[in-house]
Amino acid sequence: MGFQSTSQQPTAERRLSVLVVDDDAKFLLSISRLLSDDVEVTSAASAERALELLKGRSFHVVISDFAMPGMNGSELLARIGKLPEYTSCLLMTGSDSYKPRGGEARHYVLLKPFDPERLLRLVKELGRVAEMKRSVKVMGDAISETRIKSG
Amino acid sequence: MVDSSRLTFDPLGSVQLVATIDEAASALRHDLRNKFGSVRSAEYYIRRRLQSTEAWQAEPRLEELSGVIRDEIRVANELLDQRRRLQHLFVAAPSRIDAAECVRRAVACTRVASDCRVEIEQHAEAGNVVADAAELTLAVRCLLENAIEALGESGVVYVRARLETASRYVIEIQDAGGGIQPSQRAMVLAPFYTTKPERAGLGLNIAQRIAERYSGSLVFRDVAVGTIVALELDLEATDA
Repeated sequence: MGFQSTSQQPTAERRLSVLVVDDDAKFLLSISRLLSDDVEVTSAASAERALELLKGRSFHVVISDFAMPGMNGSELLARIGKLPEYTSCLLMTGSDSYKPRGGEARHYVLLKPFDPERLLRLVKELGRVAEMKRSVKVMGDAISETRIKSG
Repeated sequence: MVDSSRLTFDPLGSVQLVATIDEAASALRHDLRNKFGSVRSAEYYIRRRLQSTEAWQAEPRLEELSGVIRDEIRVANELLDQRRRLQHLFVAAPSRIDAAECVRRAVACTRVASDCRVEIEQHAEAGNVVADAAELTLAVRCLLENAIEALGESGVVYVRARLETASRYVIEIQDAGGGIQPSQRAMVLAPFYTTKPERAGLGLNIAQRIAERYSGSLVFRDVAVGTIVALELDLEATDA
């Protein structure tokens, strides 16, 4: 299974881009529709597919289910945390025994079934954090470059 | 073929039954929460879209029924969470035990099909951990039986239990089967995953759950041939 859908609606300002990863097709569909009015949504049915998509483009936020066949959500978000461009990460889980393991990257965790409005708020906040961190990095790089040139 | 293990008394039978029910119930709760999440998100999207339409204003039952969906999902999820009230039925009271003794007991009551020529070689170093002895024994047996299945009809399974560090006790089970690729490790830990139709596919989950219950973990370790599954536990803290 591995459908991928992208929902884009033209707006005056640049929309936040969000990648949603879940092996449950119905959950993936409902959460993608839920977010699609507010952000640009791309969906992936596996962590492996998500990593393929991330090779070609970046997202402000990646939302991933924890328990999936193959690579789990924690491993996926840990890999995303090592990408050069900052990406906010959110882990979803319906497991009552989920515990963060030592060495895992830090990310937000939402327990299913969550309040859809809460998810929307969180995704927008995380998207803004990603934009801000990326801007700070660009400014930092520009300052470093200027110093090298003037030095 | 008759599995001789089914004809004899199993000292871990009741513990295994409880662990299996607990594990299956946990998998069911997980799947139901996913379904509740889908319905809740779908209801939110439909409501949000309809709220700006004339139909929503003209037909108050739409809002009423939308509320019914939300309330029923909330109540159903609360019912799932109520299982915590029954937690004491499933979780034994931990005490200070010698993990090596659990390893020896697990080896003694591991079931091997009568037509298999499988040996278990064990080396168990004493180490005190805080856990339930029957549960820890069951966790080790689950790993042993998993390793034996990986071997097929013959071979040797090695059990090494030792103090890995001053604070860590490790029970390693090694087989010389086909091995598990790192990319497949998460998959084999999925509940009900099995390559044997007659098995429930919960052995590794039970071992993992028991390990985590006592602040431990279940990890795969790299090896050239076969698989090493390690059950890592904290040693009981001792006063300096």
